[in-house]
Amino acid sequence: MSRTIIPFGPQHPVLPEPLHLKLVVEDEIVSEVIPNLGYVHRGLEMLSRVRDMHQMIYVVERVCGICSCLHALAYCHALEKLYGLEAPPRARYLRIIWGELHRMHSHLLWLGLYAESFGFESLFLAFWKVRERIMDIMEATAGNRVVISTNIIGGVRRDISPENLRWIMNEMDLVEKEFRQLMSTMLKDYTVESRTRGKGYLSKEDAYALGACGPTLRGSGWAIDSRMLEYDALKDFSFEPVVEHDGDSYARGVVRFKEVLQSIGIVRECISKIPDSELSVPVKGNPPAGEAWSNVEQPRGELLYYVKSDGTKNLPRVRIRTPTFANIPPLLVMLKGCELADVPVITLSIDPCISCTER
Amino acid sequence: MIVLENVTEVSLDNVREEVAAAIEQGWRFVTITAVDLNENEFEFIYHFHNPEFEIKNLRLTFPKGTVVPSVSGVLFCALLVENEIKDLFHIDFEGLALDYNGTFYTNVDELEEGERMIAPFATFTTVQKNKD
Repeated sequence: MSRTIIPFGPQHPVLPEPLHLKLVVEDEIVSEVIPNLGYVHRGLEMLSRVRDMHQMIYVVERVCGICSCLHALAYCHALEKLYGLEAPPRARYLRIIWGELHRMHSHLLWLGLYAESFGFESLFLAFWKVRERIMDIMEATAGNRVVISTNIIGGVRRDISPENLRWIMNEMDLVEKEFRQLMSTMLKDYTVESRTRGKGYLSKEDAYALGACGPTLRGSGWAIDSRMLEYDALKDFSFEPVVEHDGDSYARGVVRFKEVLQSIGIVRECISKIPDSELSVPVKGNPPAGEAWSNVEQPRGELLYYVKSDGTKNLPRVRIRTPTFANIPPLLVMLKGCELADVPVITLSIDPCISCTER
Repeated sequence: MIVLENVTEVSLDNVREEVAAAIEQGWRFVTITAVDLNENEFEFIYHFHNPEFEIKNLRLTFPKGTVVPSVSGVLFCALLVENEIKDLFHIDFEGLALDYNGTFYTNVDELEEGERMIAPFATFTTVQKNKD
């Protein structure tokens, strides 16, 4: 049978960012996939050599807009390990509140795009309407909708007032109510099931062996979530990761649906227990020479930072391992053998973030 | 000095075997970090996790100009990060499962014979600003 190479991306209606896959197809079946990256590669890791460690917070926040807060959090955790610092109690709660708000708005954005990928445009707009409530919270509490710049080494830059905390509680009720309506609409829909059930199957063994992470890994039956490390305020709560066992695009979607509800619960719990304290501890001088590794759970999976210090204000090496970079090898396995028409849905099921991937 | 926990030093001769052994023991591959140590040496750190979030690191130090054995043969998912390192640090690998030949991030279809793309991490230097 003749083989044809069909380019998927970098500009494609379902892709919010430029990912290029070369699809080798035999008839309508994908037999091989070769990824091509580089359209948004900026070399941000290298900037650590010329920007000082505090300026680098702004740089890492711009690795990715959707999870900017969590990039800064992971980076600050690594630096705090080098300094031997711990953020004050209130800062640890505020970090988790903003982090979980980021997870919610990222998942809601993805759910909208996912609905659009199989032609459910009204649902796409409905998800984004709910997401606007989260964006409003972000703007009211941090002054910006996306890149909120609240994390600093040793704590946070801003507080959330008691009035705003009460308002966020009310907003969480509205988000949950509206979200549950959409959840039942989408998960019980015949078309959604027929387009996602059994598509892009990733076995439990492959997910682990190929280094998958986040909802891609948990959708294949692994209870692995960096929040189990109980960083910041998470050590005051009991946390159980959301796990699905079917390993297909539907299961990965269900994981994200349930994680939105889980994040709502975490935000409520943080607000109800948030203690009073300073917002940050002072950071004096340059970090001592050494190396540190930090791990936080981004919406798409585990985000890892390796930081090496030589005792000066510039860090000779900052290494960022983003979740989509880890989820591309599993995607190549998922796409092999699928029908050409299913490629957009399966590709979106890993929630690809190319800005993160290429840095 | 604070250093990474659970680090094992490996050599060019046994890096493949050590990575294969880590996988065999149930460790999950996370990534490879390349560090430009000084004028003469590079360092690779192979990071692994297990489901309990314990961490294992294999540290490989080698002279610049060395062709490093690729671990993509025993660990398919390492091929992307090895190609990235090849692009950014100008380090060659022997036995890459899929070799982009230095075009991983540059999106050119083919390079002329002998041509290399500029490797930012390998060529970049900083100069202290003179206050006078």
